[in-house]
Amino acid sequence: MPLHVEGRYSFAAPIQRVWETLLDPAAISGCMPGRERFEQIGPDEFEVTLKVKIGPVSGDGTARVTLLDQHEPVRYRMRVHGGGGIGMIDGAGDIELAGSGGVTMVTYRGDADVTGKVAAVGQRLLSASAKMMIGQFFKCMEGRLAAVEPRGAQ
Amino acid sequence: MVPAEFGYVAPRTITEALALLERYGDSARLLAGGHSLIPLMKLRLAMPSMLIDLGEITELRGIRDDSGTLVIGATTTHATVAANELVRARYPVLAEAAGQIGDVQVRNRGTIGGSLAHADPAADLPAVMLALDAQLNICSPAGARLVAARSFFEGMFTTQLAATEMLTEIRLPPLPARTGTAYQKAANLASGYAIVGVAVVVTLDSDGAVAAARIGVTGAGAQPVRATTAEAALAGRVPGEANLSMAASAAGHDIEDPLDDMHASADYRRHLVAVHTRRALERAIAAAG
Repeated sequence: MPLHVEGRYSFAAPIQRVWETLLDPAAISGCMPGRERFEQIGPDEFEVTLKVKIGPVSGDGTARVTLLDQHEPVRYRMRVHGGGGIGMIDGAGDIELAGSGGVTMVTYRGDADVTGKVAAVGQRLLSASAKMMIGQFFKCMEGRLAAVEPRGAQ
Repeated sequence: MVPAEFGYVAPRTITEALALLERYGDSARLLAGGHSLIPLMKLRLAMPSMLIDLGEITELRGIRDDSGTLVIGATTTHATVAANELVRARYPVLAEAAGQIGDVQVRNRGTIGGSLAHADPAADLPAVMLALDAQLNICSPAGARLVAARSFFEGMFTTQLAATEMLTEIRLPPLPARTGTAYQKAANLASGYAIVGVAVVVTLDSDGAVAAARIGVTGAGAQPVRATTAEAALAGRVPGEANLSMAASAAGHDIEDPLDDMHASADYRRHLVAVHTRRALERAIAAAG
């Protein structure tokens, strides 16, 4: 079944810092909800194993994440392909950054094809779960941005 | 449709159940009515290695008055809640909502505590608990704590309950005189789940103005919420066409991030919240007299 996600997240940091954090492998690894394993397999390619738990439902899977079409610092594309026992996902999303006065608005829009058990029985909750995990990811990124003050500040 | 292998224990007291929960931790699930958990297990979306069945614990069941506060045991079934005289007389909104959950089989097995602890975003009762300002009693081996329904729900299928905690009682404070209540929902025709559900509790003062209004909304977002802007639009005013329609429309916008799925788009959910808030308010105000 098709899964569409879109939304935005506002960061209280200048665009260049947000860009560097969003594309930093250590930050991506640290902020993926339920990450069990994270391995860099190419300059912009990662293999990620996640164990996701939402209430009584849990599942794990391994996906390949690729960062493409990077137009620093305003736009990149993320491709995700993989799955596990409860389903498979194949999709891509565009992430756009717009900075203004020390605030950066990140807008994302993605489409994926989800198959397997979770698609057959979980439609009711799929898009909301995806949104929740994206929200957790950005919130964690925001935390990292706040924790690491830029050099020269103060 | 066959669950993965799991162990099964059926303690007879809350203390025993809590000890088992502490022993098995995150790999265990508490089994109440099973009408959400068992289907998930049959699909192997949930694969707990141990089920702790609460069905033998008599102290978890039943409805009693505790000097004006109504106390409902966590494993009291929806059918029992809907038919109970005290509930019907004092909190008609709860009887009304419990009587509309799923179908007869679900209401005969499903429990009030199970529904709240499961925290399905489309469940009916969370909206009612918010509107009634319920207190939830949560026990762990370390002791008990009371949590307001309003801070209990944290997200989709996510509550304040820690892995070693159990919801044991729902405590409903008394409602003032001249209070009316109502529950309205747009139900999914196949499952009965609330695409949107609105529970309203309105108290009028001696001049017929709204002394207090609480509006709980379920189904619209990832977690149940109070429609606080809508409540504020009513407070202190005599209900009339202008402020009722303002409140209804405000309720739609009180849903920050509506669910958007095959059953209803985000915009349509906002619209349904407004429509059902209006209907629930009219009925509650008429009942408050």
